Amino acid sequence: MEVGNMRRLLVFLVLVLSVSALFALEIGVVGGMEIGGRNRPFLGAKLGIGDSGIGVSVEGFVPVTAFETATEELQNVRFLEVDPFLLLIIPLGSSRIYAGAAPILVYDIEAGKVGLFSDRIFHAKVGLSMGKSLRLFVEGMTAVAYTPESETMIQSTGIFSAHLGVALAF
Amino acid sequence: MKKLIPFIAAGLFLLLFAACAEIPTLPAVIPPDPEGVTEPTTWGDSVEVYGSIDKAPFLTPLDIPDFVKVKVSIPEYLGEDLGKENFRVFEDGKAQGFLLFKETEKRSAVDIMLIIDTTGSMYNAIDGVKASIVDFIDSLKSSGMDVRVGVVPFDDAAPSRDLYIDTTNRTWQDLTDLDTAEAYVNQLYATGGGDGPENPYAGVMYAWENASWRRGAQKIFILITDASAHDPDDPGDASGEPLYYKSDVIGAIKGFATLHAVVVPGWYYSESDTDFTSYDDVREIAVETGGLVYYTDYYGNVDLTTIGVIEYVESSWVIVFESDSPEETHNVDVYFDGDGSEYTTDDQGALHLVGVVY
Repeated sequence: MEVGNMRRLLVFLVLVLSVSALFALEIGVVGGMEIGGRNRPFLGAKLGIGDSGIGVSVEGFVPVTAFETATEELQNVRFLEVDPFLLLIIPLGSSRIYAGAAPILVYDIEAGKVGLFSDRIFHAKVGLSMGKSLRLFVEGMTAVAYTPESETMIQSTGIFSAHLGVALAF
Repeated sequence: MKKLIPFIAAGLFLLLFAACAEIPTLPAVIPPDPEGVTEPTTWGDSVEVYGSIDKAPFLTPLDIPDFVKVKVSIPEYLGEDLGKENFRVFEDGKAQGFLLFKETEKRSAVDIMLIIDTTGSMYNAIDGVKASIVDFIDSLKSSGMDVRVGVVPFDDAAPSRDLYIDTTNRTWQDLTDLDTAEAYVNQLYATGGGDGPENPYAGVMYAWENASWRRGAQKIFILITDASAHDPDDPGDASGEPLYYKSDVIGAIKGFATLHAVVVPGWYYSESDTDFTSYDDVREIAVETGGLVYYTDYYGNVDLTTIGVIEYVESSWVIVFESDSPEETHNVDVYFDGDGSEYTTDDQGALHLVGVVY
């Protein structure tokens, strides 16, 4: 491993340990499928802070053509979707149910630029997480638009995605 | 305090990302496709409608429809307050629900690539061409638009192999700020070139494939030359260099960019020409992509501001619809009606984009 990468890993580990000493920290991987729209499978990862009440979860997603070709596609990925969720978390014994919303950000890896996809369209999701240190979670997510000109003010794109993942909690 | 930390973190994330946003936004949900609307069989063609698909590699986020942006310019209706009732949009023959925005209400970004012949035959014209470009860039500076300009000099190769800038050949200028582009243009001079025809098709394709085009920006080429073009069947001194047929160039950029041809009359081009279909005539690319053909004087002077880049943007609208066609290539048809009433045809025009890949 190069010195630069070692240093980055070290900084990341120190950051993770510091944050986990202060808050409940969760690191996980996720996969899932869009239901509607382009029906794309996707892979992702998340880093969450908070175990009850208000929490933050930064999640990255990469849609792929198929899970079978995901390894190859991930090597050539140029754009990454990043959703910084603000969550309301309700603990239920060793499980948690949560709901939250996030702006949709797109990270152009090649150009090193990040942009807000829309100032009116957001992701909203609900989820259930089970377990203490090793957690299994299932979530449902959709995109909603703030449309003040419509009667309902909020409109869904009508496309949903189902998520399944595992996470380690510290 | 501990409970406030997540809010503060979320706020910081938002501020950080919004501050460096470069990706255009989709401000609303696209309405559903209208039922029972069929493509018109007869439509007026009195109004010129130019347009292109906004194409660039991009990620459609999860749970978001696969949307397509069509930029439509109607110079005759510059300053008019047009609405959705003035347009009908069809994808592969199916009527589309769509959103409509005035280009100038969004960020008016324009990317312009100058493809410049720098061969010896341009000796008399190169200073005039450079002066014309500098005037043009100055007009862009004062427009207040978000414009970037790039330059690909060419001879039998693109970028030019005979032109040395700071002892280096095959240099080019990627899309950049106006001052940097102007400084690059001022270093150009006429040299080399070998046989009569040059390689403008490679110049356009080099820029198309390598320049840092911005998604959402109007994409414009200005091709300046006095020479006919090599192609794979007529490589001449361009043998060993990348060569393209004119149809390759048109196929690559048509619907996505506009090319304006600025030609120096003399040994190949004449203002009296009306047939541009010869394999080595660059002017047909302008005609096919909705661009204009300009003729300089003998000394290369031409008023590039008359191309109307600024007016083009100011008379542009963006149509956004959701693609639901399973076809690999698409036909996108936009029908425009000036008063929104189909009873009169003298205020109608149409844009037909054929065989488009999103």
